[in-house]
Amino acid sequence: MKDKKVQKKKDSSRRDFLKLGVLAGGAVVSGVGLSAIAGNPGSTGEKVKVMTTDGKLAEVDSGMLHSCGSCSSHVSNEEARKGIPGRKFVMVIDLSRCKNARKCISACQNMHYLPKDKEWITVKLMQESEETAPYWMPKTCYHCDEPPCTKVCPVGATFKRDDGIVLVDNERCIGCKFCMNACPYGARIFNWEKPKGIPQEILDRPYNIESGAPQIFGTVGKCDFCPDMTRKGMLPDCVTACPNGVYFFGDLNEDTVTNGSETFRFSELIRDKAGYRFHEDLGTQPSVYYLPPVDRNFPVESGFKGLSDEEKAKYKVTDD
Amino acid sequence: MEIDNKTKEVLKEFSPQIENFNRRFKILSAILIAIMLFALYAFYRQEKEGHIITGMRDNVVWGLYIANFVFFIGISYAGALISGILHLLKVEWRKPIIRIAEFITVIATIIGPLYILLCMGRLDRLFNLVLYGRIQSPIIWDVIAITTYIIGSFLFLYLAMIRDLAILRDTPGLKIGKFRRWSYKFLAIGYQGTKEQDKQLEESITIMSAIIIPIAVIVHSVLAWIFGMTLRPGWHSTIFAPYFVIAAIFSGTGVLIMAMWFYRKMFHLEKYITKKHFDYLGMLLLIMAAIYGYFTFSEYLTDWYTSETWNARVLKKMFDLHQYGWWFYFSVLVGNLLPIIVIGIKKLRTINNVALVSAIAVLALWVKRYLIIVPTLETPLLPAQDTRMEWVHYSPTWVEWALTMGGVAFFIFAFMMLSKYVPIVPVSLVSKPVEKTEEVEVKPTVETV
Amino acid sequence: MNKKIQHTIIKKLGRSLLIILCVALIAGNVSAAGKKLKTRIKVEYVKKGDNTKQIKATVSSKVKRKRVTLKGVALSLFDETDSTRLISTATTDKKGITVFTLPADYPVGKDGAPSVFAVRFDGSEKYKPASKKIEIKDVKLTADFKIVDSVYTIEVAANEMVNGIPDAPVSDVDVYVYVKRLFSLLKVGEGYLEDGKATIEIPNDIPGEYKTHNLEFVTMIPEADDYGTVENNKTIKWGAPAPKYPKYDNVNQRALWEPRAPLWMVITLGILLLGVFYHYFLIACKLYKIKQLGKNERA
Repeated sequence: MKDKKVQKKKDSSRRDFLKLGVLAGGAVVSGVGLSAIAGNPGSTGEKVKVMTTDGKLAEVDSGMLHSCGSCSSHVSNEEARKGIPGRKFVMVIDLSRCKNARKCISACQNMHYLPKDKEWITVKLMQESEETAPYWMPKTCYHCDEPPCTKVCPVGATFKRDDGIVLVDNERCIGCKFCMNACPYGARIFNWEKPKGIPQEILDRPYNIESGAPQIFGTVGKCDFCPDMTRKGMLPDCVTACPNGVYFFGDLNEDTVTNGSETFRFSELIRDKAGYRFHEDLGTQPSVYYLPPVDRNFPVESGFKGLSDEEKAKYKVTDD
Repeated sequence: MEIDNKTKEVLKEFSPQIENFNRRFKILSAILIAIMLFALYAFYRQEKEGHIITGMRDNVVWGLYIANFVFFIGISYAGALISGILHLLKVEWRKPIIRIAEFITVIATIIGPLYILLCMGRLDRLFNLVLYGRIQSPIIWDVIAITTYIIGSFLFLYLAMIRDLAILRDTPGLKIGKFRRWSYKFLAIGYQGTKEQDKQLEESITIMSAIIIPIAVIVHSVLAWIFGMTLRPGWHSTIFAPYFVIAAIFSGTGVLIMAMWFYRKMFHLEKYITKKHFDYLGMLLLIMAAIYGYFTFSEYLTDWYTSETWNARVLKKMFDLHQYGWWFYFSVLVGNLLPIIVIGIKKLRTINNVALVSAIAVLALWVKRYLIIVPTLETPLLPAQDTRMEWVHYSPTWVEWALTMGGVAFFIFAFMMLSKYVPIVPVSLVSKPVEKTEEVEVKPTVETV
Repeated sequence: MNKKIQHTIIKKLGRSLLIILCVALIAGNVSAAGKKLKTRIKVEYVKKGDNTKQIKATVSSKVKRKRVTLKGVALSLFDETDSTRLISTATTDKKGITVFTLPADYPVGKDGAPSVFAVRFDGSEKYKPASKKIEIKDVKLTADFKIVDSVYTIEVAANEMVNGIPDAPVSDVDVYVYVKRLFSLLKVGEGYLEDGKATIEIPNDIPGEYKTHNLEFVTMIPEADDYGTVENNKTIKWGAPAPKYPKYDNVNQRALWEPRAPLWMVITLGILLLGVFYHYFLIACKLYKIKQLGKNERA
């Protein structure tokens, strides 16, 4: 009991801080900057600006930077198909904290060596109906427990592991795109063209299922919950990159999720904040939960601040 | 094998068709080959540069190719149904047209699957389907079903051709090359028309006619299930399998009527392909149009009535004249009602009119396949944001059109070549007396076995 | 109504903060243009459960109004308790962090006086030198794991150590109990040390390691002014069974998404294929027969 109260207190104090941040306009950025170097890959996508001792801004290959950059995971394909023993990974996305900062997207792109226009994570501006309030909703792969994509794969190139992660073997994929149609969430992205703007050194690396890199032309890719990181006990890059602590990641078997700075019992977090899964009616049993956008840290309009015109245009697209 | 006079007479009529390569034929072939070569170039570009040069993108991952795939597999029903059912029923008027129908089946069954291959990002890994095939996947169902179907249609066509091949082998004085003569000899496998051989052949054809029908039904059901097994509005429908089967028979009949009309005009087959054929097949087309219309109505009424959000968004696009409205109304109203009206009114039911409404129905069905695939894929569950703007809507590029035209050209070309090889009207059948008497002849031999 | 007042207060607060921010920005720009940049070192001291000590230093500076951590900075650690003595030097990693590890037997808080550690940065062309001092007394934290009336209880005791002998009890500091998780520590209990002692109850429904049901507890005095962080580690079988395990292990459901297909599907497909290909075979046999008959006829 007492324990819970303290947790709540801590949580609300953090929120107060964040609220203050919004009020003070740009001031919130300074709070972020501290840990920003590793998470913020700058604007180029492939190169990252790093401050050196003599104060010069040096451009470094992002592969050198992210926490798992030099590790081409040495897990065999067979082992990669089994998963990490005893784990059942789960993600909780707190919608009340998201302001479309888009750090998760760029971190993910760096982690997986994706070109700038290929997003494994997208942030949607959701509005269920005209009268309901709009909110930002980051969308990863949901790593469903009844994965429709995996059902339809003709060659077993996409598969579900014992630890709950749904992965793609880009070396087996025949590129039939059936999984892309089967996934109702549009989580899957096709490698339509030969890789562009990716350093040759990365392309020359031996492919590994767990790192998902380098992506192979003519096959399907998607968010993979960074299994090469989790195998090392490190959080996926989207989680650590988020300046607002939106993403919580953890092991359902441990009943624990963390965003790097706060750690909660998963069951309590879902219970206390009325967590839910997106479109439960589809029966796909996602491994990603959402916390509803109540008591928000940011007004929804703040999500447009700091976006380039190109990025803003992405939200004017309609399917009509 | 001795060839009776009646057969000789009939063959004499057809021999110019298989002997002469006239100018018209050569020019048409050249045009078709040019189109096919261009399609081949498009294919080369696609394989070299990737699917980025098609109109397909992350939302609409399947487009024209899959529409063509469904379409060609659909028209392959002509052979399966017309020859299969009519043979089993021993319908006399089938005789002059079954070869056309079987040609359609074989050629379309070859072309159809090529389009699904065009949808694959990694053709070089095709073998993975064998190495790692999972039978849970509707694609594997399709691979198995279509392979079986191709084997079946070839067998069926071949069986029905053996008698004619034997006649061609044993007709001296045909102005044909050595190789062709040898091939007749080889393919006729020593058929001499003895009673026992005839019995074996007749039994084989009967078995094949019986079995090709369920195979055809399964093939098209499985094809429908590729769509039906996904969580997509407009696809996830329980009636999709029968709906596709009916659509297939509808389009197959339509293409058969078109082919009949062409051959009748080109080869002057007025004596064999008569008004009766157009009347009867026209009736079949009418019935199919009616059933298809019924399915369409049922499908869209149920979707529209409940107005479930995701469904409603797709339907809105279909009905909206600024989006797919014109295409939709063309396919369901013109393509469906016109055949019923024109064929239903006796005064309008001329040979030309029947052929014309068949062509319209076939075109409408092709449009309908496109409408089944594209609007659904253009309507994702989540808002189409945070994506490349130009990637939401689909419009086919020159590569896809080139390969589509290439498929049509291949269809026509293959037809032309095949009808140069064997007479388009089964000589052995039309020269024979009506089957009733034949039946009496065959029966006692069955009993003695 | 209440909301309205709150709103205006917040507005005013926001405005004043904005002004402060602007002033700060101008000041920052001036310094950036002319002189070397100020550097800041943050030092944290952690006494681990195995008695090793870690001194974690983070180097940062404000560049263009943003605080950034400095990568590749050479830092030196000094023990300045009696005289200044260099212990070690190291370079910061990409996150601007260096961790110095002192062995378990490194003397801290000798004769009851706090040890003084200093982390120094000598400066560079662009950055000013900086140093940071901390004073640390050695503390021994013990945790006794007991089940009292079927409640999991940890009795914590903390004493300052003088030359390896427990001395004055540590009082008036918070003490927390965490369990180690894959990515982080999960807080499961907390207490307040009075007279060197605290009793903390632990919930009994925390899932343990999936096979052994072990939990690794970390009892911790976090960042106390005089002692730094003091930890005590203990692994004990106090975990509940994992809730989801072994749902995805060794259970072959033959679900649609699994490598192996449902049995009925395999059987149905088998029957269909067998039926069709049997007939194909039959026809092949008949064709062969026709061929043989033809040979006989000719002969």
